Amino acid sequence: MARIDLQGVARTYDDFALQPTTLSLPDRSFTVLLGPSGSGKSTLLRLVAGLERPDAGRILLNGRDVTEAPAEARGVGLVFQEGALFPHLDVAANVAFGLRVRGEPARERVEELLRLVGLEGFGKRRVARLSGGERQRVALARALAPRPAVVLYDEPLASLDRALREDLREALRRIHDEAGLTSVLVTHDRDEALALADRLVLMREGAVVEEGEPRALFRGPRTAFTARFLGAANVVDGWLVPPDAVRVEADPQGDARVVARRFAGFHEEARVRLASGQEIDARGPVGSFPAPGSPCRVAWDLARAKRLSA
Amino acid sequence: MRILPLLLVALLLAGCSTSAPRTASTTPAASNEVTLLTYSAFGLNKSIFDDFTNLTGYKVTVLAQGDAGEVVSRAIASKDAPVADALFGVDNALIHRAREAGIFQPYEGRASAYVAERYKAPFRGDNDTLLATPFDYGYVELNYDTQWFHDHNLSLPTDLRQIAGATYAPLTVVESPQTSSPGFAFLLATVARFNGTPGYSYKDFWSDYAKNGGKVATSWDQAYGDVFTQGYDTTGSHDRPIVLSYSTSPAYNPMNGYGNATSADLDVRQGSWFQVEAIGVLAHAKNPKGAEALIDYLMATDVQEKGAFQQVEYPVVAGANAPDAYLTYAPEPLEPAYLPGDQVDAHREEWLAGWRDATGQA
Amino acid sequence: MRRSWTWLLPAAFLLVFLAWPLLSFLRLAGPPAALGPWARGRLAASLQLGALTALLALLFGMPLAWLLGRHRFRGRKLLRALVTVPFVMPVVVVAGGLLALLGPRGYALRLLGHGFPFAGTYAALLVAHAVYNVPLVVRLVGDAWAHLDPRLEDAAATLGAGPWTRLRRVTLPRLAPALAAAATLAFLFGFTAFGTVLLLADPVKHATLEVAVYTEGIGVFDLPVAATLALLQLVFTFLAALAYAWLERRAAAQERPVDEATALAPLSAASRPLAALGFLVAALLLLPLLAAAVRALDTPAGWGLDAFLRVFHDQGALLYVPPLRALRNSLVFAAWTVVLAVPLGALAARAAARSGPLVDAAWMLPLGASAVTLSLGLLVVFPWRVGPWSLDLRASAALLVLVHALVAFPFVARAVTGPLRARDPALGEAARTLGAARWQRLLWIDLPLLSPALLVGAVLAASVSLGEFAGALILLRPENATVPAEMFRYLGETKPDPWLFPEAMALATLLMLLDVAVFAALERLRPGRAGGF
Repeated sequence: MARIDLQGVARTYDDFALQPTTLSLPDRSFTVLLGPSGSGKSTLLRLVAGLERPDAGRILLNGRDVTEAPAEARGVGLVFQEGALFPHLDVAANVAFGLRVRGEPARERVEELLRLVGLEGFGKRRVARLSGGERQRVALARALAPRPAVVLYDEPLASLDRALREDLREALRRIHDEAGLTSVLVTHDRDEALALADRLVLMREGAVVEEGEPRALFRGPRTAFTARFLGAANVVDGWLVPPDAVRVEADPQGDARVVARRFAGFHEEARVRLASGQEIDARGPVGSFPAPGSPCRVAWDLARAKRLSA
Repeated sequence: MRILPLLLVALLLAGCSTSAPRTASTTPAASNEVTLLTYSAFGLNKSIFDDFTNLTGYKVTVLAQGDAGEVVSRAIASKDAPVADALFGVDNALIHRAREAGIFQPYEGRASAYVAERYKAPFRGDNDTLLATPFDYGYVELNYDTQWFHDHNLSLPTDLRQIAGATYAPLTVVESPQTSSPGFAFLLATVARFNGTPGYSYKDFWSDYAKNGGKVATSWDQAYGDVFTQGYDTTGSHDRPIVLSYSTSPAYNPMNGYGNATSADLDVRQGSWFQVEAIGVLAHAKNPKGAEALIDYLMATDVQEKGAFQQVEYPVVAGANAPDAYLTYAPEPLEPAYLPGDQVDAHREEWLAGWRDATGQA
Repeated sequence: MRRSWTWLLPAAFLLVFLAWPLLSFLRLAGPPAALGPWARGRLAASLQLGALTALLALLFGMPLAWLLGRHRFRGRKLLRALVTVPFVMPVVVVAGGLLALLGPRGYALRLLGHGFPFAGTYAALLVAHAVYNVPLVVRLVGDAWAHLDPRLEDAAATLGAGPWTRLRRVTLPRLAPALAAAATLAFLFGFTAFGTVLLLADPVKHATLEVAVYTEGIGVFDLPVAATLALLQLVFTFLAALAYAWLERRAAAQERPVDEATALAPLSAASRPLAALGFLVAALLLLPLLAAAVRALDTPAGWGLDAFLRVFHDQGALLYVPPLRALRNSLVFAAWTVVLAVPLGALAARAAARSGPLVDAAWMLPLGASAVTLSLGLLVVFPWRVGPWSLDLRASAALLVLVHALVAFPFVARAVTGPLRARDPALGEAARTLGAARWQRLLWIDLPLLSPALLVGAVLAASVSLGEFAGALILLRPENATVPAEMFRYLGETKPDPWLFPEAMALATLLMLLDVAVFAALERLRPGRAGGF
C-alpha cells in the first residue's frame, strides 16, 4: 500500500557498481526485477529494504524520504531465498516475530496468516521439519504479519522444484492482489517474471536496460539484450525476428541446417543454424520443421520483424 | 538442565560471603586469629599451639609450603598485603633478603632478653631494632646412612670436594639453594670452603656434582623424607645414603624411642654451616599483636625445650636444655664454614646465579 | 555507536587485568642470551618434552583414531567418551592416579613384588603426557576421519590402489591438517608442562621453562630472570598457537564434511587385531584414574569409605586447610570463573570470527598456556595507587578467580568461534526487516542460537577452573586453597601418616566425579560434528 520512488540511487562495492537508478513503482503494483546474476537486482532490492545504504540518491516510500532509515524502521517486508526462518522458534513464533517486536498481540493474526498461506494448524511445527514449499510459505506469512506497506522477494522460489514453483507463484500473486500490497520480486527466471509482473524491470551489469509492461516489452523489445533475455525474438543482421515469424523449408541445396527440433505438445520448436554460423529459434505448428540434421532454407515474415535500434 | 543456573547462583552467593576482596584498610574480621607462614617440614606439633590458645585466646592457623627460601619469597611477593601475621623459618642467611625487602616489622619482646646476642645479631636491622626473634639453632651438615655404608663396605669421604666426585655424587642428595634454607646454607659453605683453593671454586664443585649424578631436591622434606635411604616417607624412593640435613638429625630415632640411630654426621672441614632460625612479625600484618604474643610464648623455657625436641635443633634461650641424645649421636661439627654477613649480602645473587649456571646443563 | 560500548567493557577488562600485568612483569626481562647455557638448557628441555609428547600421542593415538574414525560398532559412542576422560581430568588427578598405580607404593609394585623407579623419573613424565594427549589425537584426528568422504578411497581402489597406498596417498594427506593440529596442541602441552614435572619428575633436573619461571619467581623471587624466561617461552607458545590456528582453518576448509553415518563402516575380521589394540590403549588410559579411585577405598582401616569420611570431617591438621573448605573454594571459584569467562570468551570470539589466524592465535592459546606467568604478573602489578585510593587484590581470593577466568576464557572463545562463523547472516537481516532493534536481535535471535555453544564454553570454563593448579600454588593463601592445591600438599607430604595417600586419592576421586558430571553435560549438549572441541 505504498508507492516506491528511487531517485538516482547508486551503490558501489569493490567488485561491482549499481549505476544511478531512477524508478517509480506505483501503489499496488507488482514489479519484477529481472536479469542475469550480477545484474544488480538483488542489490537494488536490499537498498529498498534498508539492509544497505545507497552511496547516492534518495529512496522514498509514499513520498517519505527513508534513505537514512535502517531496515528495522522502514516497515518493508522481505522474503528471502531460503526462507531464513529462525530455527529455534516454531512456525507460529516465526510468524509472530514481527508482532512480538512491537509488543502487539499475535495469536489471531498468526492463525489468519497461516490460513492465508494454506498452512492452517502448522503453528507448533518445528522449522527443521518443514518441506521447501512449506518453509517459503511460512516465510511469506512471517513477512506479511506486521502488515508492511511493501513486500520484497529475493528469488523466493529459486530453491524449489518446478511444480512447487508454479503453485507458489500463483499463491504469491493471489495474496498480493487480495491484500493490496505493493510488491517487488527479484528473479532470473524469465517465465516467472512474465507470469507475475505488472511491470518488468530488466537489469544488466548494474543498470536498468528497459522497463515496462511484460507484453509491451515482449512484443517490442528496444534492445537486443531484452529480446534475447526475454526469449522474445532472434537478433539477426540488425533485425528482431520473433521465433514464430521464421519459416523453415527443407532444401538439399540450402545453406542452413536444422540443429534440433522439439515437440512441445501444441506446437513445435526448432533451432536452426544459419550459413553465418548463428543459431536462431523457430516456432510453429506441429509438423512445420524438418528433422534435425536436414539442410534447409530459412526466411522470415518481414511484417513481423522489426529493425533494431540498439 | 534448569538446575544449572540455580546451582551457579547459589555458588556465587556462597563465595561472596566469605571471600570478599579485602583492601588494605579493612579492619580484621577475626582478630583472635594468628596466621603463621612457614616451611613444610615445620616440626612443632598441634599441642604447643593448643597450649598457646588456652593461654592467650589466640587461635593459630599454619600455612606451610615448600622450604624456607620459598617461604621468604612468598612473603616478599605479598609484601604490603601479607598472607600471614608471622613468618617462621627465616635463618641467618635468608635474613639478608628479608631485610632488603623490608618484610618484617621490628619487635623485641622482653622474653628475648634471655636469648644470647650472638644469636640475635644477624637479625638486627636499622637502629639496632630486632627484625626477627631467634627460635632455635643448629648446624646444616651432611648425614650418612651408617647401615648402608657398612653393608656396601664403602669408606666415608674425608673432604667436601669428594662429594662432587664420581664415587660419592651418585650417593648424595642435597637441597636446592634457590628454595631451601639448608640448601642455601650449604651453598655458602661450598663458597667458603673453596675460596682460596687454586684452580677450583664453588662453581667447579657444583658442576662436577651435577655431572657426576648428584641429586638436588627442592626441599629438606623431600631430600630427607623421600630420597634419603633412611627417610621416613613410606612412598619415597630411598636411594641415596648421603643427605644434606642437620647435625642433630641422627639423634631423631633414639630421641623418640625408635631404636638406635641409623645415620651419623659426616663432619668434613668447612662442610657445615651454623644456622639460626627465627620468627618475625610481618609488616602490615592483620594481627601483629597476636604475632608478638606468639613470639613471646615461644621464648618460654619449656616451650623452647619442647620446640627444640620437635624441630630436632638446639634451643636459643639460656636455661633451656637440649635433648640428651645430642651428646651421643649429634656432636657439634669441628670446623663449620663461615662467611661475614655483609659478604653474603653483597654476593648472594651472584652465587645463586653461579650455582644455577654450574648445575643447569642437565 | 553500533557495538562500541559492548566491545569496550571486555577490552578494558583484558587490558587492565591481562595486558598490563603481563607487560609489567615481562618488562623486567632482559635478553635471554645473557642467562647463558642454563636458559638454553631449559629451552632445550621444554622443546624436547614437547616433541616427545607429540610423538607419543601420535604413536598411541593413531590406532584408536583409526578405530573410532573409520568404524561403526556397538559401544562406539561410549568408547569415544571414555577415551576423552583422561584429557579433561586435572593434572593432579592424573599424576595422583599414576602414583597410585606405578608409584613406590602403587599397585603395580604390589603385583610385581619388587620395585622399579617411577616417581621422580623422566619416564613417569612421559607416561603422564601420553595419557593426557592420546585422547587429544583420538578426538581431533578421529573426528576428522569420521567425516571424511569414503568415496574418495573407493575411487582410488577402483583405480588400482591397495590399502596401504590408499592410506598413504589418499587418506593421510587429507587428514594431515587435523594430525598437525593435534600434534601442535600436544607439543604445546609438553612444552609448557608444569604440574606433571612438579608431581612426577625431578623439578630441578627436568625443569621446563614454566617450572623455571616458577622456581625463579616464587622460589628465589628473582623476577627479572623469571620474566626473561617467561618471555622466551611466550615467543615459542605464540608461534605454536599461530601454527595451530592456521592448521585449524586449513582442516575446516578442506572438503565438505560428510555425515558420520555415511563415512563409518562396520568392523571387518581383518581389522580385529588392530581394534583390540585400540581397546587396550583406551583401557590403559583409564587405568590410572581407576587406580586412584580404588586407592581411595583402600584405607589403613580396610576397604571402605573411611578416607572420604576423614576428608569431610577433617578439620585440617596443623599444616593444611580443611579439605571440605578447599572443596567449597573450588566450586565457588568455578562458578565465578564461568560468570567471568563466558562473556569474555564470547566477545573475544566475536572479534576473532571476523579476523585472520593471527588475531585468532593472539587471543587464544598463549593465554591459556601459561598460568604461571599470568599469576606472577598479577602478583607483581598490585598495589594500584590512584590518587588517594589504593587497590590491592593480593590479599583477596579474587586474584585467583581472575587467573582462572583469564586462563579459561580462550577455551570459551574457541567453543563459540565455530558456531559464530557458521551463523547465517540472513537470519539477522530477516529480523531487521521485521522491525527488530539491535537489542531485540541480540536477545531473541543471536543468544538463543548461540546458547548451546555458550553452554559448552561454560562447562569448559568450569572444568578448567576445577583443575587449575599453578595459579593456586603461586597465589597461595588460606582462603584460596583449592582441591588441586590441597592434593599437591597431600602428595608432597612426607610424614609417615598412612592416611595421607588414601585421603589424597579421595580428593582426587571427588574431583574426578565433579569433572565427569561436568563433562557428561558437555557430551549431551554438543552435536557430533567435525573439528575442534
